[in-house]
Amino acid sequence: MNYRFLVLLLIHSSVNFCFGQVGINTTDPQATLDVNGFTKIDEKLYLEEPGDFEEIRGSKLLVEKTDETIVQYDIEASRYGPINYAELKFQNVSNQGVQDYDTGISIADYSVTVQGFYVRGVNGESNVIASSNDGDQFIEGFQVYAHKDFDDETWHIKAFVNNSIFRLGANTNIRVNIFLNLIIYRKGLLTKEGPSYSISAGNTVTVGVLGKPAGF
Amino acid sequence: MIRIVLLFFVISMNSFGQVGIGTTSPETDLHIAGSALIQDELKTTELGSTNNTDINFKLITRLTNSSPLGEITKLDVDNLSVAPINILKYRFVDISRDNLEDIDLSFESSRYLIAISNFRYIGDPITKQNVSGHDRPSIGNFITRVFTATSFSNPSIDTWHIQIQNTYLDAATESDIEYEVTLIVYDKSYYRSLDPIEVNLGGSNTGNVSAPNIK
Repeated sequence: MNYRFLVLLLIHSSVNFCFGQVGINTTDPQATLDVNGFTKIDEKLYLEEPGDFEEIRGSKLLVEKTDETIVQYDIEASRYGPINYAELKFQNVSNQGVQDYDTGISIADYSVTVQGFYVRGVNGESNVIASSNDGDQFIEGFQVYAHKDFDDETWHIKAFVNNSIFRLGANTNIRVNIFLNLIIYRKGLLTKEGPSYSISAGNTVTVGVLGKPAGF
Repeated sequence: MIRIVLLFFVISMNSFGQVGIGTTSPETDLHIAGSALIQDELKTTELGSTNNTDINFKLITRLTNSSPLGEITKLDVDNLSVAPINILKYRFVDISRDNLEDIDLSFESSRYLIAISNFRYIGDPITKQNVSGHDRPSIGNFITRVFTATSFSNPSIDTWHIQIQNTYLDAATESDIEYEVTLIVYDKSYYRSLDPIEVNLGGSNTGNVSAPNIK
């Protein structure tokens, strides 16, 4: 059966047989099947033993585009990476901190998180303190976060200490610089945004077990 | 004789020199109107790249549990119950004073890595308290962290826990405090957890440490 198959291929000049190797559009196949051109596979592709490569340097991820072609993912040249990092530097912020800032980043396409921050005086002073408007005996909580604004359909940032102002020593008439580390995840590539959960500690539980969300 | 005729329709070629397998009208140099299985290496020399107008592309993965082995598929994260990266917003309400001392989140540390982000302390402050023998009141020690520890439900495994509280001071009993965090839950099948990096500063407040060995 096999030798008849090979005889048939020899009849066509673009399909070549040489030492058990088949070439399409080449007379010098470099592998068992060597296609000098494009290949279209209508159904599935299986790679039984493609081999392993243990270094990330020099490798590129593969993606399938919406036109169904498979290409290399050139993150530097692309509109976005799966995970994107930006340092967001607010300068000359009022002593009340950042009350509302529109990043312009779409809530439909991205998840934005603040994963680190620090506050300095406008001249780099590190001894900025936050003091409660209700008096020095109170330690107020802080909020540094990104949230979805559904009117603008973008992520907004807030960075402040509750009910407090920043000051340098006794001087409350200051401005500050606030530095945030933003990690911005492109949805649908590696990242899935799950639901939001509200968990009640029943006013008593300080040590306990919270079950995982469904599916995990 | 009959066998040759059947083979002719399995593999065919058009007048442009294009070869079809399972089709008599190939659309390109090699057109397989079905599935293909490659036993060894696949190599391409002129694969294109994404540019800054491409959007909504999906990553390609290879399954190790398909039959036959090695099916190439798109990673469709929206249809996975656990994606490589999962963004989960947790809001803790009805907290006892300010204390979330140790809440077991139940995510197994063998399967997940968790990072904390978008922190909000919403509500009443904590009052500084006098410390005997000191002339200034204390501000205590406010901790926000996720950490791995023995699971409360299954002591033979470790899970991720969360702690958010002032460990030295307590808010008044009638305080209304809520915490909101966004947890980034990474599926460890896609990520590597490095060994902890420890450095002894020997009493100094500066120092250095070697970078982890990542190739």
